[in-house]
Amino acid sequence: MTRLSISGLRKSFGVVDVLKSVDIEVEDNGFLVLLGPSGCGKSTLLNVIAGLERATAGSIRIDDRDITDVEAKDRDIAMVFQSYALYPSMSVARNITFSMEVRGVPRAERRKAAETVAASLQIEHLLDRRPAQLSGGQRQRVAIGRALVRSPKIFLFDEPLSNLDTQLRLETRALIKRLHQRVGATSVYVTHDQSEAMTLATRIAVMAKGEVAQFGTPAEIYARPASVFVARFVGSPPMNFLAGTIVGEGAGRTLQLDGFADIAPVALEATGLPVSPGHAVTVGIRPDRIVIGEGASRDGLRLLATIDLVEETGTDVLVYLKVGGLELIARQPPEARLTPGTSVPILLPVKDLHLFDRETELRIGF
Amino acid sequence: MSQSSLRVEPAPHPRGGAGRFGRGRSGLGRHAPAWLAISPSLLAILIFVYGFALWTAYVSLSASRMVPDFALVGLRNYERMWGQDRWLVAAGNLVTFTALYVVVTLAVGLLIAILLDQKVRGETPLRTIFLYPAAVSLIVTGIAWKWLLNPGTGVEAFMRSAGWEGFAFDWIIRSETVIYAIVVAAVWQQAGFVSVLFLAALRGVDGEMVKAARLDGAGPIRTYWSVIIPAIRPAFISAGVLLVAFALKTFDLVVAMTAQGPGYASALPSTFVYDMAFQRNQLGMAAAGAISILVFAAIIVLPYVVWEFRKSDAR
Amino acid sequence: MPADLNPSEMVAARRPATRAMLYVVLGILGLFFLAPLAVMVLTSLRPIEEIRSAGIIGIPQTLTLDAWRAAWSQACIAAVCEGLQPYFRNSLVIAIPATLLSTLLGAINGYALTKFRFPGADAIMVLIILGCFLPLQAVLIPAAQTLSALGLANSIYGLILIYTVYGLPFTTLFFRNYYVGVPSEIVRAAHMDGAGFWRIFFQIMVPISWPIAMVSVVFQFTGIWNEFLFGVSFTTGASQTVTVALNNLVNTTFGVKQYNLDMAASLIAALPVLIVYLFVGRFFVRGLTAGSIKG
Repeated sequence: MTRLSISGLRKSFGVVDVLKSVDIEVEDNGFLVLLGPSGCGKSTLLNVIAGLERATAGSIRIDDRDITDVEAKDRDIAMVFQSYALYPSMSVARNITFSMEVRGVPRAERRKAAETVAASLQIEHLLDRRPAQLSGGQRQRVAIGRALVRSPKIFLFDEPLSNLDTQLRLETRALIKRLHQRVGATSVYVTHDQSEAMTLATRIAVMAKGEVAQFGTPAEIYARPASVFVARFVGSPPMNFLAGTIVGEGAGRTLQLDGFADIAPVALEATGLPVSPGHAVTVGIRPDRIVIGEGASRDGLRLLATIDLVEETGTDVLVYLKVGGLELIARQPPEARLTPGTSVPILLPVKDLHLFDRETELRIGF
Repeated sequence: MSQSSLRVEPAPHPRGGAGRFGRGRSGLGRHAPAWLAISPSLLAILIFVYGFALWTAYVSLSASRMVPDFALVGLRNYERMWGQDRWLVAAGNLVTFTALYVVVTLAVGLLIAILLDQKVRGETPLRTIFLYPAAVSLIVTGIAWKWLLNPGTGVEAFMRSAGWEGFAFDWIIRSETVIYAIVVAAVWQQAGFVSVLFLAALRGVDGEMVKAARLDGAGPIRTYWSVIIPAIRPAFISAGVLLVAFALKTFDLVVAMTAQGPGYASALPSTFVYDMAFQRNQLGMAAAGAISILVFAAIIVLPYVVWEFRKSDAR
Repeated sequence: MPADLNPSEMVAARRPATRAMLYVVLGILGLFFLAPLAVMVLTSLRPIEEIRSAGIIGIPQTLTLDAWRAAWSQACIAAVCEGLQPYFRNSLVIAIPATLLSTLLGAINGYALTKFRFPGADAIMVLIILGCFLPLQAVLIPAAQTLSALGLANSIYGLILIYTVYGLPFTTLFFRNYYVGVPSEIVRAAHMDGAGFWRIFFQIMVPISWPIAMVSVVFQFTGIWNEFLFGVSFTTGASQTVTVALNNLVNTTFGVKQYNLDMAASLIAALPVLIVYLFVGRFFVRGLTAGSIKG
C-alpha cells in the first residue's frame, strides 16, 4: 500500500516560480508520468518528491506520512537518472548495493542482494565490471537495479530512456513496464516523450509552465484534451487546428470555419455545448480522423483540399493538405492512393471535432 | 610550471533549477557541511589575498619606512615614487617587456603549435624539447641565459672564436638593450607551454568547418588565417591574459640574469618593490609600487574573468 | 574523405619541399630550446681551466664530476660550505606537504562549490579564483609582518603555510573545472542512497579525481620548488630553499667565476622538477588541456 499525495506544492528559485500550486494523487501501484516540454517544471517536481529540493510551500505525503521536510535518504524513495549516474569508480555490484553499504549491511548479504537483483535484470555476468565497460543499455539496467535493490515505497524515473537509441529505448521501456507489473510499486516517471507516457502510465500529469495542465488516464488525455496545449503535445503527428465561430441560437447553433464563408456550417445541436453566438473557437481534429474522399453521409465540415505532400511511413501514410491558406496533416491507411498536386474533397466529422475557447485555449464542454 | 590555463569551465545549466541542492525551508543547515568544508580555505583567501592587499594599500598611504607607521600621508608615497628615476625606468621596462614578451611568446607558441600539427614524425620528443623549459625555475633560466648572452663567455665569444671576428651580440651588457635580453630568456621559458595550449585548441577545431573551407577553395595559409586561427581565439585570449599576469610578476628572472643591471637599467616594478621593502627600508614606497602592479593586473584580468564567467553562464 | 578527418590532416603540408622546410624550421626551433640545457650539462662536466680558455660553448676535452660534487656538498653559500644539499632538503620538506595540503583543500573546495551550489557559491568561487592573478608583491609586506607576528618568520612552517594558501586559487580552479564535468546526478544518486557530504567526497569523487590530482600535484610541486620571491623574502641562512640558495651561490662567489659549479648547481636545483616533468608531464598536459581548452 503506497499512495502518493501532493497538494498545493509550490517551488520558487528566488523570484521565479518553477512550480505554482501542484496537486496530484497517485494510487497504490500507480504509474504516474509527468509529461511536458523542457522547462515546464516536471524535473523540479520530481526532485522535490525525491527530497533533493525543498518545497517552498505545500505538502507531500506518502500514505499518511508527511514527508515534506524529511531528508531524501529517509524517504524510502529510489530514483533512476537520465545519465544513469553510476559511480564510475565502483563495480556494478557495489554500485547496486551502495545504499546498503551506507547503512552498514554486511558484505555477504550485499553480495546476495546484488546477485538477486542482477538476475532479475539479466546482468549477473556484469557484476564485477566497471560502468565504463558497459553499453548504454547495460548501464541503464544497473541504474534500475540500484533502485530495485532497495525495494523502496516509490520509484522515481528522470527521463531514463532519453540517452538510449530507438531499439534500446523500446526494450528498456518494456523492461520498466514488466518490472512495474511484477513489483507493483508506485512510480513517478518524467518524460517529454508522449509515446512513453501513453504506453507506461496509469495516470498522466501534463505540465506546462509550472502547472498541471491536465491530470488523467492516458485514454482521457488523448480523447479529451483539456486545452490546446495538451492537445498539441499529446498525439503524433499533432492535432490540426482551425479557427471557427459559433453562429445562431439554441438548437440552430452552427459552427462556421473562419475564412470559409462558402463552406456549409455544421450543426451543433446534438453536442449540447455551452457556447453562445459569436463565440470565437479553435477547432481541433486529430490527423487520423480526417476523412479523405466523399465520406459517405456523415455530418461534418466538408472542404476541398489540395494534396501537397505524401509521406509513406510503412504502417500508414501522412498526407499534407492545403486548404485555403491552411495546412492540415491527415493520417491514412497505407492502401490509400493519393497523388500530390491533385484536389480531393475532405470531411472533418463533427463527432471528432474538439472545440477550444480561442481566448483561454481551454476545452469547451464535456 | 609557473602558470596554467585559467579558463573557467561552464557550469552545466540545471534544467528547471534541478542539479543543485536547492535552498529551502531549512536554509543554512542543509548546506552546513559544504560551508564547513570551504570555510578554512575561504577564510585563508579572505585574509591572505584580500586582507593583505588592503593592508598593503593602507601601508602605501602611510608614513611607514623601516617599521610600520600608521600615520596616513595621502598619496605622498606615490608622488615620491613617480619622482624617482628608478621607478620610471622600471615602469617603462615593464611596458616594453610585457608588450614584447606577450606578442613574441604568442607568435612563437602558435608557430610551434602549427608546425607540430602537420603530422610530423617525432612529435612526442619535440613536444618534450619545447615544453621542458616551463618546468625549470626562472632562477635557473636566468643563470643559463646570463652566461649564454654574456659577450665574454657566450654566443658572441663562441662566434668570434669560430672565426667571425666582427660578431656582436651584447644586448645584456648595454642599458638600452638589456630588457630585450630578458625577453629572449622569458620567451624561451614559456613559448613551449603556450604552444601546448594552442595545439590542444587547434586539435579541437571543428574538422567539418575546415573541410568546408577547403571545398570553398581556400589554400592552407588562407585556411589557417581566416578559419582556424579565428576559431581558436579563446585560447589566444586566455594565453594572452596569463602571459600579462605573468609578466607583471616577473622578478626572479631579472634577479638571476642581470641583478637589475647594468645599474638599474633592467629594473622592473617587482624588483623595485623588493628593494624598497627589504633593502632600503621604504615600506610605504614599496607598498605604493606593489599597489601599482596590482592595479595593472586588475585592469587586464578583471574584464577577462568577467568575460569568462559570462560565457560560462551563457551556455 | 572519411568523416572524422582531423583538421590538421586537411591543412597538413604535403609537398616534399614544404615538408623539408617544415622539418628545418622545427630543427632550428628545437636547437634554440635545447641549447641552454646542452650548454649547462656540458659546462658542468668540464674542468674550470678548460672553460676559461675556450668559453662556455664547446665540446669538453676532459669530463669530470668535480663541479657536481662541489655543488652538492662543498660549495660555500655565505659562510656555510655544505653545498646545496641542506637547502635541497628544505625544499623537499616544504614542497611536499604544501603540495599535498593545497591539492586536498582544492579538491574539497571544487567539490563543495560545484556540487552543492548553495547561495553565494558562485561568488565565493570567483573570490577564490581571482587569487590566481594576484601579483605576489601586493601581499609581500603584510605576509612578512604576519609571519613574524606568528613566530614563523624564517621558518619552514611559515613557507608551508604561505605556499598552501597561495596555491589554493589554482588547485580550486583545477578541481572546479574537473568536477563541473562530473554529472551532478551522480552526487544526487549517492545522496538518495543515503551518503553524506564527506562519504560522497571520499568514496565517489576522490577515486575518480586522479587525472586532475596529478595536474594539481605537478603544478604545485614545480611551482613551489621554483618559487623565489617568498623564499628570498622570508628565509635566510639555514632555512633557505634550494632556489634561493642557488641564487646566492651563483651571485656571491668571490674571485673568479666558477661557471662549471654554477651550471652543476643549477642542474641539481632543476633536477627534481625535470624528473617530475619527464615522468608525469604527459599526464599533466593531458589533464590540463582536456579540462581547460575547448576550441
